[in-house]
Amino acid sequence: MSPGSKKKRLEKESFFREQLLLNDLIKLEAYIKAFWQFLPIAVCYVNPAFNILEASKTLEVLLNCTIMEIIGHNLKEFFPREFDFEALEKEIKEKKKITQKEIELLRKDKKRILVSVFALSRIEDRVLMGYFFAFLDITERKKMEKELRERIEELERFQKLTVGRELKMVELKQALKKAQKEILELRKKLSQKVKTQ
Amino acid sequence: MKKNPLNEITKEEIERIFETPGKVRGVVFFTDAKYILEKKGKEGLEKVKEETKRMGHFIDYQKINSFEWYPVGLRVISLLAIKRAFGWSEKEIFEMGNYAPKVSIIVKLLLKYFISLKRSVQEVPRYWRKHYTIGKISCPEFHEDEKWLVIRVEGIKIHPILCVHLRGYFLRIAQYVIKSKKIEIKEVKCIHRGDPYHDFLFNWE
Repeated sequence: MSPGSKKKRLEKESFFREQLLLNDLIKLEAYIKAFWQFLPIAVCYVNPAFNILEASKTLEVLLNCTIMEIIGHNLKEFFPREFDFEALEKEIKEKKKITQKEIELLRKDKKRILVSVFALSRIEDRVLMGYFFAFLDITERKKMEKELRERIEELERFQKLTVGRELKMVELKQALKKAQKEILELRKKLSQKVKTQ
Repeated sequence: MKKNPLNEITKEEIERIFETPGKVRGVVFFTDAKYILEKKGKEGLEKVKEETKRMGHFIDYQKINSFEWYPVGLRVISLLAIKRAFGWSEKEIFEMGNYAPKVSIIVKLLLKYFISLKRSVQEVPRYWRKHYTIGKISCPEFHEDEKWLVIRVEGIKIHPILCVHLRGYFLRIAQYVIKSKKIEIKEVKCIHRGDPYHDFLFNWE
């Protein structure tokens, strides 16, 4: 094979490989997009400075924002002002992950929601690349737990009252029986006295 | 009266732009389309497509592949078509540039390199090559303690509208990397003003 035709063959092979890679990249892009669209829980990916780079559609619903009002913004913006975000940063940096931490988030309409947070560091070749954050809305669950607790307390109070009343009734019955017995004995004594007179 | 190059464009100018040697990644058209869909809906995107047809270089945004290479002139034609379709000013084009990194798959893949300002500055040349086959980018001035730096783009002279878009784009990248609530960007040197290159000055608090 002449050097010229060998070179042409190599160029053709290189072009073919490039096309294959390109097709794979296109498919990968479509897969990544579809995956983020699908995610049924509120998830986001942030860079080491906590700027949100990617977010699931569900996070839109949770925060009452459009995805473009989320991506590009710092995660700190979605926490109440009084929340110690630096402490959260420190925790994830040190522990590399967070599991089921209960915190409040701030929606676009300023409504606060209680969420359970999961977070994981993403490390590549020992270099921190960013973090994944997932948020589970536990506002309703906490509300129901509170209502349940209140009902239980109410029932316990009611039970105390009714049990107390029950015991009182028993006491009264016993006192009544005793009194009836005493009355009977008194009557007996009285009738005996009348008979002897 | 001073001519605003953003407002006036002839057919000859459009052809000159289209024939600029060099290629650009399809992702730039994807980000344009995403922004239009967000701001103006499907009808808005159709309007832009019609405008590109009127300009003699139809862009079917829905059929663009993010990773494929396209004529670099088409990139500017897309921006001009958008500007003409909605009568937008520099402000809207700047905002479109600022929006683009949010939705660009290439930015998301490359952002792993932008984990610190120092690292970002080192990676910036590689970043440009992923998007354009012409021109080059560098950071001739980097003063992190004094909170300023300059990004230089050389070898690319197509149309000033691209400079406006790039300003917004670079600002978004800076916003991802620099931990500051106030970051400013200015194009202090521009090839279209007779300078040898484009210099973008960043200041932050």
